[in-house]
Amino acid sequence: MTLPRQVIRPGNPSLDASRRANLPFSPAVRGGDFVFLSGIAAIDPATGEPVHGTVAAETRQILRRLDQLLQAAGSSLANVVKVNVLIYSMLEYDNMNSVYREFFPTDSPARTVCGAKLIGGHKVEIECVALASATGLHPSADRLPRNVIQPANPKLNVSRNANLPHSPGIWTGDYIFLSGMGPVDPLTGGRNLGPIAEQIRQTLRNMAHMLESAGSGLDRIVKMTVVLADAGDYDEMNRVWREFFPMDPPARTTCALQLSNGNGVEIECIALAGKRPS
Amino acid sequence: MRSVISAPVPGLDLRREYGHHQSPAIRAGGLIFCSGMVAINPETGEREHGTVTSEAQRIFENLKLLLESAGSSLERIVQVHAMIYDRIEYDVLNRVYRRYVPNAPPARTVMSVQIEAGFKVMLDVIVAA
Repeated sequence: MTLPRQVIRPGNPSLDASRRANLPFSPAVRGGDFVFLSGIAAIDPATGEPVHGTVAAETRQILRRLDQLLQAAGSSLANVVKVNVLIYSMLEYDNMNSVYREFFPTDSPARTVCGAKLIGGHKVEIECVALASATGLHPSADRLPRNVIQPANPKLNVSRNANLPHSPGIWTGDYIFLSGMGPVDPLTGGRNLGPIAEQIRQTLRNMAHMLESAGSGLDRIVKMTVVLADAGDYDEMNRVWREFFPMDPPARTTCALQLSNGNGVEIECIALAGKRPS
Repeated sequence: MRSVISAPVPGLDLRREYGHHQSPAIRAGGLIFCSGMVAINPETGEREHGTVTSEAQRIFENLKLLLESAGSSLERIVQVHAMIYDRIEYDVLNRVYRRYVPNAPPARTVMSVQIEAGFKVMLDVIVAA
């Protein structure tokens, strides 16, 4: 059985930031028990233009849109299970928190807040995972199998080759979670540190190989997280993204952080498994 | 079904201790989503700033408490965002990390970010229930 994967867009088209700006990610993707939202930054609901305000103002704007998007997916704020907040400076934590608490008065979701360089000069960006509906495919009593997945090409098994304490990916229930991947050359296992567009292409080809090794594929990805070494590479990344995801792209969150080994990019994803593990 | 996993020991309730508006973890769809964990004394709730090694150790011990109270375990972790204050400590993190997940370790992405209250490590995990 393969689960359907459905792209969710907001009811109000002016709030569809990725479509308005012709960006290659979907606002949200539903598959399995969960709906995965892309990182949301503040935009004006009337014009769709980016809003640059205080942390409190941006947080309020974002959480209103998050609420609307969840409703468009048939979910709600009460169904949110996990929130990730990216903030330009952790000194502003309390300013974010004071607005945040208004939106999740009781039984608040699990949450992680960290400071990172955001795209587009925004101060806050928020993504979340929510239950698509109150009654899911897997009742809470389920104890799902958990399996390590490996790439068919051993040169791409970076963690094994460098003796690092992570697995290439883990398959549990309906989902495959991949570790962050970089531009590794599939012939030599070395780093392929060419121009950023080539690095991103190489990484996405490797990701396709990793998912296909487990019976899934790029078209089954629901959510991606991209870390760039340089926020200035954002547009170049989007150009490459369109080559790989011409239609119904995954939900995506991007930020800029320090990376190892001279990598210009690192990408991780959550994908729907191709079939249930036996 | 979405259910809140409450803190098994008082110190792990960051909402009560520090006004962080979050639950320690949420269980849904066969998975457990944990809030980002930092080095907190599980009894007193006091922040225990230290080295990457000491903070990561404390976090794993707390995570063990939290997951086992929910009927899961460290072996059931599927994905980790391992956040450190500086990428240069990557190998230091790995040394302590591999002790807690020696076999079939979770998928992982290491990120160098700014962490709350001057901590050096934060672990953000998703676990099979």
